[in-house]
Amino acid sequence: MVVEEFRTFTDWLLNEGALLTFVYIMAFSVVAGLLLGFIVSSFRVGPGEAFYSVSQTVFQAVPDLLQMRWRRIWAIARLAIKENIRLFVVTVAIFVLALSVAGWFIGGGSKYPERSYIAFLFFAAQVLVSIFAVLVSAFSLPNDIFSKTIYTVVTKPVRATEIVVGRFVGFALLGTVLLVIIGSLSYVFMQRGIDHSHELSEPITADKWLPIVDGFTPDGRRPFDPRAVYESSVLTTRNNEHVHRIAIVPLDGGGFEVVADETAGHTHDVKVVESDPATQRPTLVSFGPPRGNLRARRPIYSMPRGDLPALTLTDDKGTETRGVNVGEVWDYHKYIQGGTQATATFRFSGLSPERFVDQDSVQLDLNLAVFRTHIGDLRRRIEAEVELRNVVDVAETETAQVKFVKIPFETEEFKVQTLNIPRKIKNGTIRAQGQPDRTLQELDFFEDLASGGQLDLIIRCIDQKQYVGVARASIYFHAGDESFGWNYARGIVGVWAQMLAIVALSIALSTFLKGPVVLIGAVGVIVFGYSAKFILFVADSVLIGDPLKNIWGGGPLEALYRLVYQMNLQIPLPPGAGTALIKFTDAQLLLPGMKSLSFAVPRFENFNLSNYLAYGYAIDNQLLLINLAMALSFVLGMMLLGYFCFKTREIAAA
Amino acid sequence: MNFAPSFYRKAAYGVLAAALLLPISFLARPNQVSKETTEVVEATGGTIAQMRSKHNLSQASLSSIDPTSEVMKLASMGLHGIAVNVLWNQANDHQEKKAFDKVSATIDTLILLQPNFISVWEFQGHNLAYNISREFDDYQDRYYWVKEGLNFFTKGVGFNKRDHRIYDNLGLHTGIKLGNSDEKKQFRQMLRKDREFAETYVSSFINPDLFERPEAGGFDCWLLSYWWYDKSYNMRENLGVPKRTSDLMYWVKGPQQLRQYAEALSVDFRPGEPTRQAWNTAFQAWTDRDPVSGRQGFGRRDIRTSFGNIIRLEELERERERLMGISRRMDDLAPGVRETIKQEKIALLSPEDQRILAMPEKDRQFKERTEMIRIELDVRVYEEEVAKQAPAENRMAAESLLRELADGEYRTNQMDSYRYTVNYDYWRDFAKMESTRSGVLARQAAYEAADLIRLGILEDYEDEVTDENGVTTTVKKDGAISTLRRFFQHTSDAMLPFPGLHDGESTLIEDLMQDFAKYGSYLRDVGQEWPDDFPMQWFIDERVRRYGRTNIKNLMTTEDIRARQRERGLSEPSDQPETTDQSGTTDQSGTTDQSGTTDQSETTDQSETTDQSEATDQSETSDQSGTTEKSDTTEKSDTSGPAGTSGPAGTSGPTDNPKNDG
Repeated sequence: MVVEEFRTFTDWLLNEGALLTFVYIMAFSVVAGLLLGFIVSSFRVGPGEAFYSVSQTVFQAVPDLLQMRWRRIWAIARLAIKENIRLFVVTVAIFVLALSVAGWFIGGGSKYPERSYIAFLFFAAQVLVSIFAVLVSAFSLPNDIFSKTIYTVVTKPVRATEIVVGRFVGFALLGTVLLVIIGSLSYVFMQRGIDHSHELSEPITADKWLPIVDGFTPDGRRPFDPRAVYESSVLTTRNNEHVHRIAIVPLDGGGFEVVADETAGHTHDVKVVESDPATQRPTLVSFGPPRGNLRARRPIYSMPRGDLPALTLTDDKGTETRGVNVGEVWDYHKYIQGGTQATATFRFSGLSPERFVDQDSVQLDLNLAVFRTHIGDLRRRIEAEVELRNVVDVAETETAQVKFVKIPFETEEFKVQTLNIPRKIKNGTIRAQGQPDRTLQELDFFEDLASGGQLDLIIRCIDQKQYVGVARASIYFHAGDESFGWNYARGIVGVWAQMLAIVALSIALSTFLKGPVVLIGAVGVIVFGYSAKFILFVADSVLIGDPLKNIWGGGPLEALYRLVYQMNLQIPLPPGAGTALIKFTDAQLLLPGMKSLSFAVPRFENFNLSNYLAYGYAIDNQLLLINLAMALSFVLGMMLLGYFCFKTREIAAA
Repeated sequence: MNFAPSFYRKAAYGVLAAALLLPISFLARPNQVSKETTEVVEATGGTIAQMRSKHNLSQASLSSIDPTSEVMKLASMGLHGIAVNVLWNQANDHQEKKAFDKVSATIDTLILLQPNFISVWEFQGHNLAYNISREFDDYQDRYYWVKEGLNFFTKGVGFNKRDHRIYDNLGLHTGIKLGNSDEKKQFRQMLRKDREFAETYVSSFINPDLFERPEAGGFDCWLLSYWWYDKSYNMRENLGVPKRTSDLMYWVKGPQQLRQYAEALSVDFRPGEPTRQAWNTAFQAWTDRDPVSGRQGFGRRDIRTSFGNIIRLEELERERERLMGISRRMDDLAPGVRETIKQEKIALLSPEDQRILAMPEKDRQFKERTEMIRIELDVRVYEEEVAKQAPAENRMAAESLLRELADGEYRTNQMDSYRYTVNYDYWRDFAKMESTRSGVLARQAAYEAADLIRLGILEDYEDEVTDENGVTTTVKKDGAISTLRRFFQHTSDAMLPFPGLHDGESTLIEDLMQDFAKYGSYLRDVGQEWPDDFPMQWFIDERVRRYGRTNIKNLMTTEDIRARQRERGLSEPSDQPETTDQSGTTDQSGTTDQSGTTDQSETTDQSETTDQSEATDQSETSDQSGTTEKSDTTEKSDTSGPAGTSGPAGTSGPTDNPKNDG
């Protein structure tokens, strides 16, 4: 899976300036709010009275905020829930309807059906919950004001904060219940969709067990399990749009087991039902439920160590490099040249035995890219080598022993490839200054190699003129698996955080806008939030001229001009005052404004954590925490905005 | 009762709306459709419905109605154009980021919105089979994605039942991707036993028995592609589906697949009678009649040219004969005129040009041959010139013949040009040559030589053989050099009747040249010299004479051999191989017999002894080949032998389509 951000909550909050940004935005909002309030009031009642009015609003806010009572909030919340129970039922019905036809579109024939299921279900949940959140929150307050039922509320001893917060609580609760229902239904739907079993398409007679000769089956395939001695030419029945192959794998202590291959992202446990008495090879087998498709791997990624980055690449001369460009558009993978001294070094920390479920062996997962400059031997995969090396303190370089072990392997591209490293490694090497290397030493993974939890993992490509591509997330230690159900729930929490943000946004807008305008405004902000990354990209391209973010077509006004006149992006605008005005407006007003705003709006796409579920990785708690903090800080801002707008609004004038 | 003006306005709108329903109903009333087949049973609908039906534009006539597709289109509420754009962008983005399973899923959704847009099927099917498959390092993954591409195309068949291009693409991708890519060896090997693929993806269109052959070791990609094209031809012939490509490039495909099948068979297995039969089938399908489908052969098929007239490629010779007849009639009308004009033109030539013109063709060397192209144009007598000088009483008849000739020349030029486009003559001769006994024997020898080279056995060797009675005897066996010599001998015999194959540039010649060079290097490796009686010496000499020494720097000509002999003070042998002219008709028997005899005395291959003595008689090939050993279906484990020895010349690599092969 592609992972490009490895930040912790503290990193995000303090080092990346999230807290500071929040403080800036709040301070700016307070100053701007006061100024705006004063100007508006000045037009209405004159500057002197305006100052008094603004001060009164600010000072009244203190008791309004401090003296909120849960009883009154809950009363308002209940009202909000009752008002929208019909829409709630309709939304659930729509989701059920969507599920009933979803089977037509997803899963079937896909190489990884669970990915299609998760992508669809999370997309559906996000869209439905967002629409629901906007609809319930956008029209509630404006309708009350329009129908004047708000009088009955504001004339009661209820604070303005309680009216705003109460609605938020009510809608958030309704949305939460909706999400719980949708999440549960989705989970069951997915489980049912991918659950299946197989049978053999026909009994396997002796001649149908094909011997593996020189590492290949008679029809030229590499056996799916490298340990296999026979592979069956009889396949399973086709269920859920796929079939499995099965093979006989000898066991260390004698005997054998029958295993099924990994197809459609899973395998099955195979049980021998009947065997040929002459050859002892199975003729009939049964298959268990699918295994391995719904999982939540807990990875331990490389981390920066002091000033050293988490991943360093060196070229064949040992010089640090950005990796070889093999001409790919996507520069996620950095390539190292094969048959040379070029390496990629991953720095790991915190590798303690207690972090691993299985402490007798350590599982190293690799997800490498491969680039061939010549065809070579097509039947062979590109060979690479992993070296595990203990970390020696710079001060002890002369005295300390360097312990390392090299593990050669054949790469498997676009797959999670697992290397099982026994805790006690037999063929280790110990190197001490001034002494010959001691080879074939037994090394303990945790005590000798990852002593102090730190370890360097060096990867090299062995085949000449071929390349292996790595990214920081390409190699990690697989500590164990978490419960998929729990992981799924965490994915739903991401959607929940988004829902909270949308409800708060819509309520805040509804305190000073009419329902349809709120709807458009909220959708606009959501689209803006989804596009924030692109907006920043454009802004950096135009304002800073960042060559790595070179985007043709200029800012928003220029883009509009080009659209209307159907101009190619690379044709310069005609010289003249109009062009100067467009450029000036884009560069001085629109882009800086949009850039600033992009920091205040949550990045909605970050709330979708379904990729983690689809690719079988546990959602990092730190990431979840960041999402929640982002959503809650936005909620807080929106609540304050809503309160002040509602407070200053003349209800009777509506 | 008083009504507000707004009421009257609304009432007027209502009446207007109702009135508009009438023309709409007249225009758009649907046709009567059969409940069972969803076919239009009666064109009783409105004008638009009738026009749709007439031009086969209704969804039901374009494709089977797919509920998923219809739901998708409806669910996008008229915004499916935007949805399509978004999905295309997503697919591209996923592909850039190597999330290929997501690409596949996105394409599956995308295609539901554009099920009748053939270009989308073509682009994305190709994308899966080519672009995505090659992203994977493992050939098994590549094979999976090629099948995904083919599977994608098969989904398009139901959606486009009036467009043959889906089948064409299936044929194209099945053949070229599985049978002609870098991984063709592995792909073909896996396909042979891939019953799952045959039964799941193909069987609803083509009976797997049709492309499963014992001599091919199982399923064959070229046969499968042949049958995909057959489906396309059926669609065109039986359903009257409009043809979307030129006749020439459309009808060439089926026979091409049969030829590719024969070639693949020759390379993958030890050639024998099945190979010869496969080549014979390919030859027949290319020329007269396709024995597999019973259709007319490619050469006999009506081909509509881009100028609108119809030609048949196989009729070129007959048409030329006819024109020569007309030309003779012209001579009758203007007796002696042609010769007079010619002599006048010759008189205008320079003495040097006259000398070249007077030389016998076989004596002309490369330089003279080049000059002759110009000289022939200078002395050419045009029919117009003859007609112009015909006696007055015959002038009108001559002009009539002239028009007939012009028309005929126009047709023959077209035939010639169309033949050139698909390399018709070359493949006809090549297939015919391969279907002879000598052709098969040459293939066998090449196959054996490749094995011996891989094992490093260059010289003849002795081997112990135990017979049924347990008696062990020592027999002499051919090494790679002797086997290659046998290969050259059979190739020489096979090529002689086909002068067209000796000429110009083709992969056949290119491979032969490489084979000669390798043969020379093997000889040097074992300390031997280029033999005085090399079976294809005539061919080398001919190339030098016609094209100079450009591409044969390291090979010896007869002149070189003679010079070598002179250096040694030996007298020139009287039985030196004669240099033949380009037609290869003169005195080949001498060469063949001599070398054949020498070889036979040294070889232990009994079948070869008989074969060789008869090999020069091409007319008997069909009968003789019946005695050829049945193909050994044990596949070569490695074809990494030197180029040109993995099969007879012209079949050694993926670029075995010589120039201009369509």
